[in-house]
Amino acid sequence: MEILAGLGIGFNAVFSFENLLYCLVGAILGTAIGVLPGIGATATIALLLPITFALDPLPALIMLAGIYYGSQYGGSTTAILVRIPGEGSSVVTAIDGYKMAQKGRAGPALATAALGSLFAGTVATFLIALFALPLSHLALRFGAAEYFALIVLGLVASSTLAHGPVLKSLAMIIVGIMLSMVGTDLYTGSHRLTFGYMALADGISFVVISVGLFGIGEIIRNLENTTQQDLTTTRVKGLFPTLRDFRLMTPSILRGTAIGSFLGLLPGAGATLSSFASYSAEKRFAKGPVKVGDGAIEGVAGPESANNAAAQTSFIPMLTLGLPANPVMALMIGALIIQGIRPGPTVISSNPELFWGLVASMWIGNIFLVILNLPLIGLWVRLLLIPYRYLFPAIIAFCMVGVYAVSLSTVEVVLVSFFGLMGYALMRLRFEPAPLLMGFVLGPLLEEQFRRALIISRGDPLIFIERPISAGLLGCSLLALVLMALPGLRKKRNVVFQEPESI
Amino acid sequence: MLKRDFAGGLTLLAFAGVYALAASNLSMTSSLGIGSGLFPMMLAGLLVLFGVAMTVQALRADPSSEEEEHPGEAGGPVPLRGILLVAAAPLIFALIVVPLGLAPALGVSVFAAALANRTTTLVGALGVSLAMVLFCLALFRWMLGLPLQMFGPLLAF
Amino acid sequence: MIVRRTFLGLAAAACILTGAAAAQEWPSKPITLVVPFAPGGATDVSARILADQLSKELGQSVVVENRTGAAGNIGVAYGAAAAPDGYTLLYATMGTMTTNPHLYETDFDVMEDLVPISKTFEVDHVLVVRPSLGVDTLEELIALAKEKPEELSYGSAGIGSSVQMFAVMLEMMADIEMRQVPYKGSAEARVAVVSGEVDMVMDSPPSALPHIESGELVAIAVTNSRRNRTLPDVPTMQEAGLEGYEAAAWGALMAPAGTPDEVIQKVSEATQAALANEEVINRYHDSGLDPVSSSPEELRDLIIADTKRWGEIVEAAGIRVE
Repeated sequence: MEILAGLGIGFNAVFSFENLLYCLVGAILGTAIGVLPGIGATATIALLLPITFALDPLPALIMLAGIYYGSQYGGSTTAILVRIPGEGSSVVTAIDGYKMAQKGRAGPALATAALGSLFAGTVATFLIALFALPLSHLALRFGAAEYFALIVLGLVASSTLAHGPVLKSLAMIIVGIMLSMVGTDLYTGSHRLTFGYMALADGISFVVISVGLFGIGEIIRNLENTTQQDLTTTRVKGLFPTLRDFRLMTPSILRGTAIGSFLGLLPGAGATLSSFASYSAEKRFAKGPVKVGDGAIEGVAGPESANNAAAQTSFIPMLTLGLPANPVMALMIGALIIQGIRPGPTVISSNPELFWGLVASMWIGNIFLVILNLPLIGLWVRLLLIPYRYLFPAIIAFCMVGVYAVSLSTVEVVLVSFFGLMGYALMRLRFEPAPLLMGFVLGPLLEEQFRRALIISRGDPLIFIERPISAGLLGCSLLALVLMALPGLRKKRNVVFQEPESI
Repeated sequence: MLKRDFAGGLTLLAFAGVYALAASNLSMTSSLGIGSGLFPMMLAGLLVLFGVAMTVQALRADPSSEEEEHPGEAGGPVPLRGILLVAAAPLIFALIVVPLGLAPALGVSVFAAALANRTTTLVGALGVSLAMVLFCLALFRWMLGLPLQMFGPLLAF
Repeated sequence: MIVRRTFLGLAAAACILTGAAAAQEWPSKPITLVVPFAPGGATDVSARILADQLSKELGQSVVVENRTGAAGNIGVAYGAAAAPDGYTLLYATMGTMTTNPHLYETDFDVMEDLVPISKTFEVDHVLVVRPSLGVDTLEELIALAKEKPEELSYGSAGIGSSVQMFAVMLEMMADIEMRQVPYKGSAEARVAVVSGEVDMVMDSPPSALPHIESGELVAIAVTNSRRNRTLPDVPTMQEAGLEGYEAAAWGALMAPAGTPDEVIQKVSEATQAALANEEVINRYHDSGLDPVSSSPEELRDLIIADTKRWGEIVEAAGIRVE
């Protein structure tokens, strides 16, 4: 109980009418901006961050938490409604969430995302309260070789992300990694594949690729069909999850929470992987009537919970080592530093009200998000009833302004067009964009850790198998690859023997 | 033979080729060991393998399986007008946003995009673009106060 | 880009014609302060603190605009190409002014396209090593490095970062050779030293402090010519025996070339007043920076000296961006 007293300190510090109001305002603003396609959570926070500079430390932090959750959820909303993920963590949400929306079940998908997040966030908050100190050094056991192996395992395990054959999704992952190489090489400083454009020196932004491949590509594909002009043909079937939905999503949320809570402890790669890893788990373990990938509620519940659990537990490496899980968390560290609080091994004991205040404010931000958004679901769902011929120009407009407002770069806007065409071509060829985006998100980490490991070992590749964690993870990847190849072999035999497939 | 996968395999090969060409000026080694070009080249090579595998598989596959795989999802005719106008919208926007400002850029490009749909009337397209200009103006300029110029230097005189 | 430049050029020409008269009543409208780095980072935060205070000193609001990308080059190029009417100022750093030009092809020439106004902050680094390395002083470290050439490694925050430049300077002045291991930022590099993946890093003192106190890192020396406020017991490089080693990163206020002298003078005075303000000093200290102002001339000399120094180091160390 002594440990839980920490949480008490945090809530005491945070609970005041004024603070809660800031949190609410933050959540509203974050949702309002984050829901626009073309502006991801990171960009939303960058746009809104200056508002918090005028505030006192704790209100600023709690407002930031509200903005974070608002924008995060706003991004999931866009992913579900119009299939434009705002950042890596909502890529997989866009797969089943959008399919659900097409079937008239956008409401349950949105509610599941919010409720799953809340549950995961709550569990992770208690995990931090109980185990923050013993877990704070886990990240130190992960060096370059271990991170490389972890990402390889993540990529291999998630090659089942798409519907089609493994070959196609592996190819898409590689194309995604290839696109992520554009920009300044960390190790030599040279500009790679930028074709002389300064605007590309920092690489192609995630939102540009996502808006192009998913958003614009999908719009063009919808234009193929002149008879069916609306996003949902079926009528909206209920706004909230049914009892059966709850039964289906519960195990997924639990799995997602467990996966996310663990991966969140490994800054950078771990938190990024969490939603992908959870999605692969759902592909394997979900038992619902709808297959994951075809609009199953498990495919929304798992990743959204994992993502949020990871965000919450990533506070441990963030506050004890100063390693943020994502750009948003980096801004939170910035907010702490402005107050003169430096991350370090003793930050929990030396600044308990701040550490716990931060943890508590994140949790409260999460609550506000649910309170704010459950009533709003009806409104979001109604957006889909706007005739598509008016909706799609609006989506394009937001994408263009969003991309331009954040980067002030016309090159990025032109790229939206380029990736839109590419997205449509890929759809025609039945390549799926989700594995591509996953490769794009994880590619830079993969290369960075690979090269760093070799620099540290002076070019000796044995470093990857001499270190036990790295060797273990790579072994798992190999095993996964073999297991993946097996069903293919078995299937061929089945065809020969004319046996019906039974799974 | 599966036409779609055959085309897909060839597309992968073409992409890998162009990519390798673009990355060919990067050096394979550096003072830190591996150079900036090694990873891109390795990836291009890997993609060639996948491309070849896919092409070969497509050639050997039974064409009737294509429909079975995705029944009823044959995909309509390529919407040329849609592609052209939707892809043109960001280009128009990028071209005029700096000299003329955000408002005209958004208006013209959204107007063009709206016309991608055959059933949209000129009045309808005009309506959408006007609404978007006003909405974005309100949101980005007045609410968020972003440094976006509504009317560019060419219109300022 | 070309189109934009032409228009900006036209606008600039128009402004020069009316510039002399306008300088009298400057500032008559809000001033934009271009920051070439993302919101929330140390540079951005210090720029916003200064902008707040400058707004009070000048009686006109000073608005921060983040133009990020390409190691700050995009923002600096934007600031350098802005109309020189005093309504666009640039918040630059040591890296963007004095090392980037040696490393990258840039769209601007610091000396020709920009004029100095005032220095704004200084930040020195502290050399920290992992405890398991078994050294406590600079002397021991240099001895160890000489004994094992190219075996010790230092973390860097990327090519051209002050974290790298200060380490290369140490290598050159102490005549040792070490290996560079680049990381995404100084936080990652610091953690790599804590976990023992690399041997040392040039870190920012307030960030390293908690780890030094807990014994996860051993402080060897600070880079500036005077001891650091937060680490009073750690010797300077010179005190530790490395004669002539003196380095600190800095931030500065610049304006596009052609900005009227009266305006430069006004901003410079306002900046000096702002940086002497008690609250500003405290807020700078909280973010780990020392507020330091200067006259435009002093800043010009500093830029020239640092450009020369880092140029020599970049060349001698063979740091090249292919």
